Amino acid sequence: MKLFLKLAVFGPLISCLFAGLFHRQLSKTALIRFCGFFMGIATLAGSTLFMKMVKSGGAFAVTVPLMTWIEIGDFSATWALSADPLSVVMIFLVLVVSFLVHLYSYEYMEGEEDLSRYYAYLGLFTFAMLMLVSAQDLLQLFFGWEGVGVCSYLLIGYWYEKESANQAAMKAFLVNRVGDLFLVMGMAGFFYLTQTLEIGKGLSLLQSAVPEPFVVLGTPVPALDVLGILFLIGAMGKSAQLGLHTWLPDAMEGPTPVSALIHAATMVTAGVYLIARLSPLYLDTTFASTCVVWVGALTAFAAGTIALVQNDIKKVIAYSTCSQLGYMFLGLGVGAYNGAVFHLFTHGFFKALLFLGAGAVIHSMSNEQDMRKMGGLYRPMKMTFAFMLIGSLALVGFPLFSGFYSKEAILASAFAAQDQYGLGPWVLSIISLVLTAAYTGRMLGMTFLGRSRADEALRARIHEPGLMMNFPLALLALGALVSGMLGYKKFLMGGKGFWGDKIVAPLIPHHVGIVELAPTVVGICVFVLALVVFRKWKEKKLAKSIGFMERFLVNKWYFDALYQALFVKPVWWLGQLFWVFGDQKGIDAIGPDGLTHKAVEGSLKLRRSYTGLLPTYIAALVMGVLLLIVLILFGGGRLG
Amino acid sequence: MLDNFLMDLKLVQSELVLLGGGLILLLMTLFPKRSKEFFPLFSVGIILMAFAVLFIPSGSWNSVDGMQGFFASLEASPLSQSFRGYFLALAAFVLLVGGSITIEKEKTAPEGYSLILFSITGGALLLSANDFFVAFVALEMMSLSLYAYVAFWSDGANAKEAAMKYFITGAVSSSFFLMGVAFIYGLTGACQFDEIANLMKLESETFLSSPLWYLGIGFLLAGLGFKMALAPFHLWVPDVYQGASTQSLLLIGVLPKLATLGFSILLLKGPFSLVYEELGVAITFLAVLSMGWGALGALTQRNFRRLMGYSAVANMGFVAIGLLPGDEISLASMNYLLIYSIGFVAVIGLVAYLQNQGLSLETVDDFVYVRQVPEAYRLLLALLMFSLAGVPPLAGFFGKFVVFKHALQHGYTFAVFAGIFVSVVSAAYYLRIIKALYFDALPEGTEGLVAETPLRQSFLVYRLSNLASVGLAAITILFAFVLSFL
Amino acid sequence: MDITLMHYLCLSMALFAVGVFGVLMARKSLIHILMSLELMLLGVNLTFVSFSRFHGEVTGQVFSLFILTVAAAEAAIGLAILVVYFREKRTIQITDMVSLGEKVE
Repeated sequence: MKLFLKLAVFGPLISCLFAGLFHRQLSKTALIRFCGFFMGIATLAGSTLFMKMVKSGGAFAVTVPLMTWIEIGDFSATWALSADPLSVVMIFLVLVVSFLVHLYSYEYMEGEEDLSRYYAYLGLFTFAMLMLVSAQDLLQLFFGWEGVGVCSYLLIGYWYEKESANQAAMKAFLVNRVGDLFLVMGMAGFFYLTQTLEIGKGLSLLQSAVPEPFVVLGTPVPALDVLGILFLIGAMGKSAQLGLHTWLPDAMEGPTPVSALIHAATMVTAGVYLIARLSPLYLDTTFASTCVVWVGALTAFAAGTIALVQNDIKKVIAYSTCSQLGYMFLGLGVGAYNGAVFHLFTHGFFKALLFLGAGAVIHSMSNEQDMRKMGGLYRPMKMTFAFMLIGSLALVGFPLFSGFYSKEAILASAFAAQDQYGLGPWVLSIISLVLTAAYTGRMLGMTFLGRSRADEALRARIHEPGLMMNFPLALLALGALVSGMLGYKKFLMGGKGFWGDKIVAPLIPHHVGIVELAPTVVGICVFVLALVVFRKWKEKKLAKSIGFMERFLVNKWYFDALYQALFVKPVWWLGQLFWVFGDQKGIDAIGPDGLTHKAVEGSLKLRRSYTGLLPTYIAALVMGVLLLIVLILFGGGRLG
Repeated sequence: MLDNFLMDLKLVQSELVLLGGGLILLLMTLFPKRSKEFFPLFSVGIILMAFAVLFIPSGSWNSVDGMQGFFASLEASPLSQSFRGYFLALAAFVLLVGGSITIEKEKTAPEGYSLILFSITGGALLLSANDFFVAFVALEMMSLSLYAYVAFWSDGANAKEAAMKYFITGAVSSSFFLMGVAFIYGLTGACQFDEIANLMKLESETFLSSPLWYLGIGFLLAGLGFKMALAPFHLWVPDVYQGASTQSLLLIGVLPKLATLGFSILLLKGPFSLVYEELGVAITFLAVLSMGWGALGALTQRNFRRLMGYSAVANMGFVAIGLLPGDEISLASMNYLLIYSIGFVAVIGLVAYLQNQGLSLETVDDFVYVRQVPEAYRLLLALLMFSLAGVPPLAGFFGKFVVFKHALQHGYTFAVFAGIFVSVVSAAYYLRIIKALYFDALPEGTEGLVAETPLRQSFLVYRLSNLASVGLAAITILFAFVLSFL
Repeated sequence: MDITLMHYLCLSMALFAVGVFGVLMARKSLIHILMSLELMLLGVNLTFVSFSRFHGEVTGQVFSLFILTVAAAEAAIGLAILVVYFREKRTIQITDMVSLGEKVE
């Protein structure tokens, strides 16, 4: 099994190095063959691990120590790959989606000049993500965390000639920095309390003895709550939770397969993974858990409302991702860690499916992303429509589709946790569920139903994607269909069942009653309604139906404007201030630039007086002697 | 009597070897049929032999410690012995590197090499002088041979003018030196260093208040400052660097400076140790003026040779900082000068090699053409420039570091700040060469300008010298630590 | 009037200064400079001899002999350089000796 684990983790790295180093020697076909080969091997290895894990019922753990990374005194950080139920689930998901995206990209990205760069980034991303999820040590986790951040930055800015892509990449990077800062602070606090960065060891230490509370601004705060909040903000940055979510929609500037892999299925779920991994810590907190609940619920709601008015097909799915991540946080907050991870798992499949399906649409529409110019695509793209429909039904939570099971678990847990948090989060999540149904139906309706709003020339070019794109779609559709049905028994098993002691897994209340059934039925009705209503697109119809809310939603709750006014503008002004008065008029005038200028002038002046006439040399000599004598006469001692 | 004389000869055995070598070379003019590479190799051999002899006194190594001879006019102390060792080793390198350039031209004659050997004899003798007689004669022996050599052999248009300027300024400065000696003789009535030191101890108060003292030490410092190319006695430097042949440039740029610095250290630590402390301001003045003048002159300089000249002046300013009086014997200045000299020889050697390859490297901008020869040379040049600029972890940085440390320990803050400031300015002109090496675009139509027929590779000296300059470059770059702990 | 050390020193200083000014002021021929150099050395010699007499010992006089000898060698070399310089440039005018030097616009 150790070999399989190594293969699974290092396969993507080899693929990355291969694509990066040999891109001159290889044709594009050879490139995709090699990269696909390595990724395929890694995926097979990962699947084997997963199967084994599922069969053994979670009772299997492998650790491959690679090297001691840092060793200073008592502190040591090791680099080790470890497979426990949580990480194997993640490894499996990451590898499967990554492999399918590799395949899909071959057709989607055809005609790109430097495909090897793209594949190298993809491979590197996958490797970093696997490092993240196979880490037993917070430092290694952080390494992977930053690695995926960098790759995300690189891939969003893949089309670096595009100004908007560059800006989006920068924004993603900067917003993530905010979260990362808190993650580092969390790690520091973790180390401060436990003297180790090893997750398992540290958590058991924290559980065995409640640490002294930290004093924040004069009031004692339970140490675990502080850690929980720090890690939560770290996770919020990566997982695009409300407040730090603004980068995710912009990140859609990257190629669509990248969005499917990074910004839907894997990287953005790292925050969920982190909190699930640290679930014993959160279990003992009240304040931090409450924060997680409300962050999740509000994100789910806000992102759902914004998704309702987006016209860019990718942005709809992006906000949907945001909203679903909110669900996962909600699940984490109410203690249904296994439910959240299960939702992460099923979401990975159906959201990747939706993105790749949207990619197929965009591809065949010659890079048109605006849904207002689509419509009626079900006729020429029946297969894609079918896949998208499966994905949408899974997202909406249609019974028997994967989303149904996972969302159900979270909703039930939220309802069950009303003693602790009240009914607020549950109500918000029910509303979000309805919103999900609405925007999904709207998206499908606008894209596939009704009449085509594309112009003639474009309409003639619309085509069904080829095999290389359809195959990943089909596999993901399969996943979206069955992953819930097959998995829920294992994943939602309570106690020390499948998850062992790696994450806290409570028994999910499961009894089909009116509370569980009603939202689903309402959701389905809304979905069908939206499908029908948005079959035809009229510019003003939406505005009329929701009135003043429309502007609010179109402007995405004014988050970007708020940040612009709060952070960007002041910093800009400050920068301008320092630039004009500090640099240009201050330092440049008398500082390096001014001095350089003076020095050059002085140099020229000095040299001009130096004509090469011999007597002047002697004159300098004589003057020097006289000066020296005077200095020795009066100087006597030290200068300075 | 004879025994005494023979014992005394041990003090000058390396000088005797050098002198003998020079005389043999003179005799060889009678038999002109020699292969061209014989003379440089022979001279290097002689120097190496002198070097070896220096370290094999007939008794044990210690027997030479503090040994005096020839009526106490010569002394061999461990310090002076080590200075002579550095001097001879550098001389051998210089000659090996310069040799290749000389043999290429038809005008090779043994006289030139005998002049060089005489000059080196003078330098070595200067370092063991214990008497102003010997010091004066040795200084003149070193200088006169060099004047003659600059004029004797030239590969440029202006070597004769350079020789003339070098000679006249040199002669004026040596008469200043003599004037200084005369005043000090007038003050103390002695020319022998030990006697001067004893008298100084007895009557330091009277001496220090006498005008003869100021005049004497001022003139003396001027004479030595000229040889060390310190401002304001340095005006000959850029001109001579520009006009002299490569071989002469290497000699002028390294040997007199090293010998004179060594002599100055011995002088200031020996007979003048009591008054050394009083010279802080004067030396600071020399140091700061040299650094500033050199850096400013080099800043806008386009001509490479002149730039190296100004850079030499600026670097000697750093050496002078290391010479500032301190509590114990500080070798910071010697350390700095050694590092700088090795870098200088390597740079000039590499550039001369490239010029022999057909590159014209007159101005700084010409360095763009270096990319037409193997990459290693460009990299070496760039590293050497970084070292000269004092970029850590290269040797130049450690040289500066040790010098600054010395000055700071003894409270010369002003000199150190000036030095740091000048280091920043001087980085500009070294980096400009690196810019030309790596970043400037080749002018159009000049690709493949390198001469198709490079030098005849069969010359042994040629290959050796190429090796030597590369080796020197490696030393400057790699053995920074070794040198900085001297 | 007694002739004291001071008088000798003044004379030798004057000689030396004349030499220095000769070098400084020379504009025409390089020969002027060579001659002035000799004057400077003469001044030094006189200083040595007078100090020697003052201290009542012989070292200074011997030193002046050394200086005379070396000055001869120096003059020889100076003239030799002058000759080769003249052969190349066909002039020994000091103001013409500016091929080396800064050329700044």
